[in-house]
Amino acid sequence: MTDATAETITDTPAEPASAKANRRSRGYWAGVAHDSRKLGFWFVAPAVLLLLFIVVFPLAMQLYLSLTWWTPLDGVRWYRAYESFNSGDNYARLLTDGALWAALGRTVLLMAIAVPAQFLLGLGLAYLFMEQFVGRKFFYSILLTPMMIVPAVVGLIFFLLFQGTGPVNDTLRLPTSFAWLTDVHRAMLAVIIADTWQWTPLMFLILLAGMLGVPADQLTAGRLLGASNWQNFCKIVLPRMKSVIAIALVLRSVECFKIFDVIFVMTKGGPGVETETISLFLYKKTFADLDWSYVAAIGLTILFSLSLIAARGLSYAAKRKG
Amino acid sequence: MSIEKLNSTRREFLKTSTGAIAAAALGGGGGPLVSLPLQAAEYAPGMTGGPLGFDGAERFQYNSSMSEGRAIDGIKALKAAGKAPKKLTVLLLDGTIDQIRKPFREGAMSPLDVWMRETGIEIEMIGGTPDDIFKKVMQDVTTGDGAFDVYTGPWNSTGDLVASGGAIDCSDFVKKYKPDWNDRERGVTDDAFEKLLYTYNNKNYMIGLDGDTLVWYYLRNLYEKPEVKEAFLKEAGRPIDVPNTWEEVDAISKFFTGKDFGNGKMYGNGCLMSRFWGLPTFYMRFASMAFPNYYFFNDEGNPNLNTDLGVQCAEEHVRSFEWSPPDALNFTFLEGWNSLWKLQVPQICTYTAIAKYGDGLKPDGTPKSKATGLMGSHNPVGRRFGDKINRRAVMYYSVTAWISPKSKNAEAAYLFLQWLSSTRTFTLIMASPTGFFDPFQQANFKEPLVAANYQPYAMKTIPYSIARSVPSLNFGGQTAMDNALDEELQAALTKQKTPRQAMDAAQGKWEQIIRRQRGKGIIEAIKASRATWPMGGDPA
Repeated sequence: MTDATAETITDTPAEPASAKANRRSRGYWAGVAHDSRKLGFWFVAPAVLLLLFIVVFPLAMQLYLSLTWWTPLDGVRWYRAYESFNSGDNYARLLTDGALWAALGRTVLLMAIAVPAQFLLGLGLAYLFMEQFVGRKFFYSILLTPMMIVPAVVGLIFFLLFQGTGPVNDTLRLPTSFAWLTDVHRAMLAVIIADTWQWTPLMFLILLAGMLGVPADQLTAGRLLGASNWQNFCKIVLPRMKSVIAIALVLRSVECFKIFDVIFVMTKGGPGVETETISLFLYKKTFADLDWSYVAAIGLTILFSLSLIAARGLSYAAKRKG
Repeated sequence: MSIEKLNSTRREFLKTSTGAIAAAALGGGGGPLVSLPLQAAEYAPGMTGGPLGFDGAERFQYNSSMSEGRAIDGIKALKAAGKAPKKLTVLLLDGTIDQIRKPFREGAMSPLDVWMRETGIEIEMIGGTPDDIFKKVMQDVTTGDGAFDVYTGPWNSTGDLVASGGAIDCSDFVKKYKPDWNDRERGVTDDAFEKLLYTYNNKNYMIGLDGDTLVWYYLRNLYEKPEVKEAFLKEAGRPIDVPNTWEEVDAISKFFTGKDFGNGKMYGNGCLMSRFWGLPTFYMRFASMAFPNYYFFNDEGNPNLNTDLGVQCAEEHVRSFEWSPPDALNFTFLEGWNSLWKLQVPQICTYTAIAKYGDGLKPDGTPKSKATGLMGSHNPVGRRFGDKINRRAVMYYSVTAWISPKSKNAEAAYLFLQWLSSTRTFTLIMASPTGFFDPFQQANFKEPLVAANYQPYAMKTIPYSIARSVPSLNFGGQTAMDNALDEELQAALTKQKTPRQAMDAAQGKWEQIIRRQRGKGIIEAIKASRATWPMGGDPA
């Protein structure tokens, strides 16, 4: 370094610290513009933060509450729930809560009957609608109507239909003392009928879309080779619809698991607790018993269990595909 | 949810001549109000406020020495100090809004018209259904929304609301403005009932707006029919009469079930048996299992559900379902009323509005129901103990108002409630042919307009029942306890459990709830509740 250069450097006034920071910062942002990874990070950061707030915060809050005895009756805000910390007693409680398991059992029973019934009816109807016939469009529209009705209204319709003095008993010539909604066995049947009436059209719609997607030339080829309609259906249509059927069944099973409105209006979970599914059970625990910390524990357990089942299912499917 | 924005009342109000006069005086705004010479001239001598424009309006008018007048003066003072709100938001049962908003007859002033004219403060009424309204209250409390100045809901829920910090103590306001609830001539009859309706833990957390003591109604003409008299005498070995005891109630229920006396097949038991609405039927029977009372809890605060008497009560309750209409487990009180109105059941113990809605003539002169002119009411029933009967009714639901701790206008909200619940205004509300607020004040029963609504035959049985009424549960944990018992009773009614099993299970659930609430004063609240039960017996 020459003396002149040294002098020049010495003569340069000292740069203030803030200016240095600004330059550093400008430097970082200038770098971001040229670094696609950094740029991507900053573009998605707000969305990720929002997502974290929407998903992680409620989950963390539920987890926190589930480890306490807190209820609104305590008269303190939720963030002070730690005052009644219970070392996970709520989780131990749910393992031995007969009412919870019974509600879960009823939900599974309802799913096990309603979803296959809706599937079979939907499949049959879809098969009928594969062919052209007079009034097809009209009947198609009529068939889809139930699923467009608000579930609570469906509940009300069937509540009225199944009264002792209602149209169902009149049509079947049953005495008015033949109770549907207040009978321990028939109440669930009435709920299943209502749910099936409303959601068979959705099955029908999905399955029809799947059937229409089967290449016509394969069906024609089958016929030319002497296959009957039944054989064509079993050997060509159904195998080609596997993924559509899986989607339809999963969709309806998930929805059926969450069923609430129809039952709430028709029976409110009664008689007794005979039609009380998991959603109604949780609703009752939340709003009637105000047992919020226990509900948080149940909610998280269900979420965890379903996630586990889904993950296992996906891994199984991936293995089979592989 | 129906939202009743009450700006329109101003338009309705202007329809009346008095309204027009007042409006002219007000200049169409919310400026200085009341005590204008033109209005005052129409009040009875010495009165400065209240309704105008119908015969007998003077019976509902007041001045500054009266409870309503003090409330209005209080509002005026708040206005003068710039502390009065322009609007108060009130959460109300859907079925009560018209009782406040609409005049009881065309040309009369509605209670709300009176309030608006005298204070200029708008009341926004937001509706909720009877079995959902408390959920809305708790939602507002737990989220800290502060959407309402005033909540209303079941009286039973006061304990839960107070425990959750959702109601303010109005004791200071009560001392300051002196409402007439405790006027023994016009308000409630005794200290115990006053305590029950207006206090919790000896503090004024709530303001009673309803008299939901269950009262017995029956088809009077049916009991007078010769063929009924003859058949009953033959079957029961004694003449048919209104029952005094549960045993007699059950005998009548059994007798009528399956018989047809000209109106189709009957069921003997009209009392509600369904979830939520059927619970007081059980409580009422339970309360009379011993003399003078069989309490829901013993002296130490432990439940009495699975004692021998508790189980016996459950067995009787379950047996009475055999004589109920087949869909009775799904009935709300409305379907219960309807079963009497269509002459399907001969008797029911229920809310007093059954007579208002089902007996008498509609404005067009047609009967309100098939039961019009055929109904009667009788005293509560109990059990014989020597030469006495412990007749017991039960107070259940009873719409009650609380002021939200989030309200920025607590004093104005209290003054509105004092004005609304004072004996003159409340009696005017009772004159409405609609609505679920029911009479309970002495002044209500002396008013001809109220008698015309609730029927003269009930003007003695209602206060008689109130005096013998026991409180249902009303302390922190009540909702969970009622729900637990309800669930077990339903299990017994649908034969999934025996009454013994159901009571054992309910006992266990109640004990668990008490254990969890023990540190929060539940035992003290249970003991305080016991102190409000009636102690006397009536001659057998």
